[in-house]
Amino acid sequence: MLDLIVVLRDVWKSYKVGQSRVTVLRNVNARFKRGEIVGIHGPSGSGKTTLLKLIAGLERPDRGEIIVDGYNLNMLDDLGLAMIRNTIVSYIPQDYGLIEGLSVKDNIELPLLLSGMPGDERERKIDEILDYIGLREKKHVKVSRLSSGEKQRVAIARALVTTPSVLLADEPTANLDWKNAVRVAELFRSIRKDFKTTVIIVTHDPRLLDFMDRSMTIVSGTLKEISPTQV
Amino acid sequence: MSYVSINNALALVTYILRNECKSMYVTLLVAFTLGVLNYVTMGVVEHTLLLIALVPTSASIINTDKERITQVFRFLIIIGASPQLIKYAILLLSLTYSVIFAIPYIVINVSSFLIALIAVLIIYITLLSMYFRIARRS
Repeated sequence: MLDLIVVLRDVWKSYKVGQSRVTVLRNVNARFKRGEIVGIHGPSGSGKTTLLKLIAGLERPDRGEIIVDGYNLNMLDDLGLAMIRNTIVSYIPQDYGLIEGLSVKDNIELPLLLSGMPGDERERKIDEILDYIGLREKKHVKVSRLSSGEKQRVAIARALVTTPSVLLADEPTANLDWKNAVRVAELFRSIRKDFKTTVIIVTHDPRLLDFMDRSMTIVSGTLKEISPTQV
Repeated sequence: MSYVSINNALALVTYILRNECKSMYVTLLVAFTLGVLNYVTMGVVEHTLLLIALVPTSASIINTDKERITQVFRFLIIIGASPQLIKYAILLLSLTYSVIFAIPYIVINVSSFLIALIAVLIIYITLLSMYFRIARRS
């Protein structure tokens, strides 16, 4: 089993804006170990979300390599990247990425359905994960009726249900008050310990970095390791 | 693992339709109203008129559900549904609409089915282009 789960080598990414190109990530190099929780801190527009989307295979880099659990994402076609997202990497967008009109159970069940898991096993897995995040009683409630904190926990359950090796969370506490933010941060720490999942969180809130094993900062598309005293 | 299977595509369509898509109900209502109107007027409401009424309606109906459909497509991309599977699901969804359209017309005239097909084609292209746009943005 590889100790390094995610490796980024000389990654560049730019977007076309009107007639010109804007470089979002510049020569990014990073290594993430299996089972660690890492915080990436940076202001809005610094390239945090782009970085997560590249690791999730939702975007492709202009240059450089991204290796996830031994797979070089450059070598995979769209189907290969989709399979990576269904089995190895789970991504939680800032707006939770749930289907509001469906129940908590339906939202969590769909990734399992795609992976071909039988019905009774799906049911058991959903109950387990709902017990873990403490939302068993909301199983049949529509997502639109949940609070922001509950939606975030359902999004985590949806991401966790396929037992991914890497969990990516984009500003998971941005829409929460501090009490709920702490609860979510502690949940991520438990996930790292209980599932041996690598958790990578991007945030603009420096207080959240206290919950991380290590932290990085991203400014104008350049990623750097930071020591606790710099936070 | 059969990653792209008809069962999975059907399951996705069921999920999409269960997401309270207003467009499905509105489409059903429009199709029935026009079909019944044509029936009771003994064909006075000609096919051309139906076509004029139905095709723009079906396109604009998709627009009313844009946010919900976008939400579903984004969700599917994030959880790792394969692009082929999503395309199958879109095709099946369009066929579902075609059945809904066809029911009132097929009783009157089999050729009316063509009207439904044109509307479905528009729905299919609209949904597919929405998916590609979202996939690029994701």
